[in-house]
Amino acid sequence: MLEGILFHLYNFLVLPFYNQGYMTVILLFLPMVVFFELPWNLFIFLGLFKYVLRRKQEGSRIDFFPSVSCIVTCYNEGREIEKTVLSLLEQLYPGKLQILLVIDGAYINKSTLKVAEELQKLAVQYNNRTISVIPKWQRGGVVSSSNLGLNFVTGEIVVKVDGDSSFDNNMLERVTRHFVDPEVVAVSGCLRVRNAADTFCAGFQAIEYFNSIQLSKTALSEFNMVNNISGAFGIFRRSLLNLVEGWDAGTAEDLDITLRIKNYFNNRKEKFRIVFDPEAICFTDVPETYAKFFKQRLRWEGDYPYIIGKHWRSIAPSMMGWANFNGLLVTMFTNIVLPMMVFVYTFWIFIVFPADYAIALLIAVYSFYFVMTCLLYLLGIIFVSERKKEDLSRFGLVPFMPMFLFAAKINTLLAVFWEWIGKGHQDSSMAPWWVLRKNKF
Amino acid sequence: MNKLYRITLDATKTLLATEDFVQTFHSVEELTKNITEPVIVVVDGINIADCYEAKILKLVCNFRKSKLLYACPLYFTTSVGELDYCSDGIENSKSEILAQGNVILDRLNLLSIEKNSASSDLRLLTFLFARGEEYLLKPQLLPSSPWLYQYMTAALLGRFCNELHRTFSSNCYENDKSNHKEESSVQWLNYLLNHGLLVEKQLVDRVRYCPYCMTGNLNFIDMCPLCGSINFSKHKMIHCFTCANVAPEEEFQKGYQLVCPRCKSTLRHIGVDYDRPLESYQCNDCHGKFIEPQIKASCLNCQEKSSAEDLIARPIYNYAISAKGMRAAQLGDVNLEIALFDDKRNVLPLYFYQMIDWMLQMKQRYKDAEFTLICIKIISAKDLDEVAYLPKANDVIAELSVRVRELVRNTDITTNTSKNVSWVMLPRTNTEGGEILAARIENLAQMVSTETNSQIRVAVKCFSIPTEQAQQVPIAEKLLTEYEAGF
Repeated sequence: MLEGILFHLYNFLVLPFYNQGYMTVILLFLPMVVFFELPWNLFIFLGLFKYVLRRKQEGSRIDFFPSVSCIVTCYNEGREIEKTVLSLLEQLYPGKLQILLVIDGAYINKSTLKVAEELQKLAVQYNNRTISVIPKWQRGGVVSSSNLGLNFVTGEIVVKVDGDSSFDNNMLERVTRHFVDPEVVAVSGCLRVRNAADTFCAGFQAIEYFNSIQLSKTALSEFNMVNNISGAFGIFRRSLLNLVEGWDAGTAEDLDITLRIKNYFNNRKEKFRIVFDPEAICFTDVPETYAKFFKQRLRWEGDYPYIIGKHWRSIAPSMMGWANFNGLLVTMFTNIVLPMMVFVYTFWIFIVFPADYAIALLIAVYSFYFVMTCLLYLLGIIFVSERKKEDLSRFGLVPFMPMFLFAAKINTLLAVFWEWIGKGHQDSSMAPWWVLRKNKF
Repeated sequence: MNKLYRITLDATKTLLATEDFVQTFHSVEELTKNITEPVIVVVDGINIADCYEAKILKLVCNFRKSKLLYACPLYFTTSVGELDYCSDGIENSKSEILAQGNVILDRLNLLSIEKNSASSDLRLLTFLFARGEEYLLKPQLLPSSPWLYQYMTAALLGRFCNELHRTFSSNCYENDKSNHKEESSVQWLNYLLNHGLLVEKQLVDRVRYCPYCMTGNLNFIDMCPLCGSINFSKHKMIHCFTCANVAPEEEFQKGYQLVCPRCKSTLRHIGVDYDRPLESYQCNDCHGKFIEPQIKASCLNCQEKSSAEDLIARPIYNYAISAKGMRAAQLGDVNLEIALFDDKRNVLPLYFYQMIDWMLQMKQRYKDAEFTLICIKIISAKDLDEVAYLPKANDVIAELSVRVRELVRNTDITTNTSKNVSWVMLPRTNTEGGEILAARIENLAQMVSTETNSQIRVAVKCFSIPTEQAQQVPIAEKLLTEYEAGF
């Protein structure tokens, strides 16, 4: 058995370099790996190098410090919001910052309200910082909180964050510099995992966040193809929010607003750009157990099919341009088609081929993913990471990453089916059922 | 019987008819010359335009100073702002004035007005007695006054007219150059309250006064506790988790980043890379560092700086006359107890005299039944009643009293023959022993004169009565009175 596996592995991985004939075998059996993942990763590398070159040429920081309003949507985080508020107060940003703590369901979340009111007093110790607490007595979901906060905004730039995230002290300074360019309408901030050291599960997610957000989005941003402005950390020009009339009801409001912004990409005289900034860091806690992780992803991964169902009319190159259209197709492919392919393929090879051959094939696929993950991770650490030591310390987990991602892909598949069959987006903790029920989609 | 008199300031502005009044005058002096008993006075013809404040103030000052009129009902026909409080009301109807005024007059006639006019305490008590125990002596908030609150009526009766002149257009009078160490009406009434002559009703406010000049215009300033400079600035401290360096934030700032000057690590995230252990201050003059600035009250009057706990807090009450105050007004004696002895061994003078007589007879029969007397006399240049309001006088005398009682033995008998004279009788003590004790008391008493800037002096003398005097008992009262007067 073992001999068989090794023999086949040799045939897959070593022989093709000597014998052209075996190439066909790989082409036959590794379709999605070679035809899809490889070009996509090359595209990412390309974007990354474009970023590195451009970043090197960026001059010193221009004295542009617009006033900023930060909407912090809180629910029952309690003492947790202290981290958020403190890290916002700590910003080394010379401009004005208005912090709006919107507490959803303040009537039932009295402890959070109490903490918020305590924190309000801290603002006097800082220059140019104000804190307003907005108790939203009736629970209405995160979207209603954001839209409510929007009414009280005074700054030119609006930062939308969740009540359990915290920020590096140069976040605002980094993020605002993009808005010098009038084309930039929104900045997607970089999410990092705060509790990465707590469990292996959290560590895996830290690597995943790093590769898929800090690295990939940096690259995509070079082509104005940022796929999503995260709901936990999005920065908008206020005039843009007025234009798109805030966030829309329903889950995946972040993906929703990203798509709606992209609808202006191709049909306006002025150009719109969404920038991803790998230097604007937001820390957030991720689920520490696998059970919680899969549950969270089950919720998130249903977003794509849901949003596509909602926006299918506007998904066209004439609206968002070819690049973003293709980007969206790729994302749809990775989020919907690819999980299915992976699932079917895995079973299929065991049915069609002898066990040793199938195992060898899987190991070959695994090796490919491993090499790709390693490469991405190392390049990311070298070129984008601002915490190189910390990221390197997790390198021991990278060999297991393809497995983790495979499990996540299977989970995504479940999520897609759950969304299609069970209307999963209505089973969301983001808003109460009586609100979601009324959503049109 | 109509006792309605009028003082007209401006004849063209009168509001009441001349025939309503027994007589109309133009000043308090004229009025006092023409009356022999208390009357109701109405101030009419007040011309608001014509420097009225000074005129009214002068009028009420003279009125409340007058030996006959000080407690009489006084009405204005027109409101004159803050000075309304100096009158018994603003009234335009004759019947109303008569109704109210006669009640006051009736009660006033129960007292010996002229006798009571000698002491400011009694003047005030007479005034209050006439208006009954329901009448409230209310404070007026006067932000321009150095004392912040004033009891205007009390100030006038207590001859604190300076106090009022400082508040109201002081340029209408010769500027009083006296410092503010003098008493204000607030303190005076507080003193009377402590002696039970007044009762406090509602607590209106609490004011803190400068302990140096007893005025209330204070500016609270924070200053460097090391050198007293007000020129200091706040520095936030940063604690680097990597190398435990704690230094002011400025040392960390490097562009838009925080970089530890010691270990060179970038501090990105609060709570992860660094925290702020405290805020500290640095004086820009002496460069000293401190955690908390010192807060002091700077007096706007004397420029002295005092810490908050040294300020003298005075409650501001609405006062009314007490039963004791009423009795004092009726008897014409406030009997303020500044005497030295008031404990169990202190006896009434009558018993004291009897005891001395008895001791004299004992001494005649038994040779060893010697005894000595010590007389302690509190002497002051001014009337003792007035002196007693001095901020420190009471404290000093209370202190002296405690010390003297420590010196006096359990077997000694004491008495207060008047409010400033006390006697101690030392049984089985010869003249030398008495002299020793007298010297000790005299030593202590020096403190009184230093503390009060010699305004109060305490004299001590030792006496021993010759045996032959015992022949003609009772003689003690006569003897002791002679001795008292003799030094």
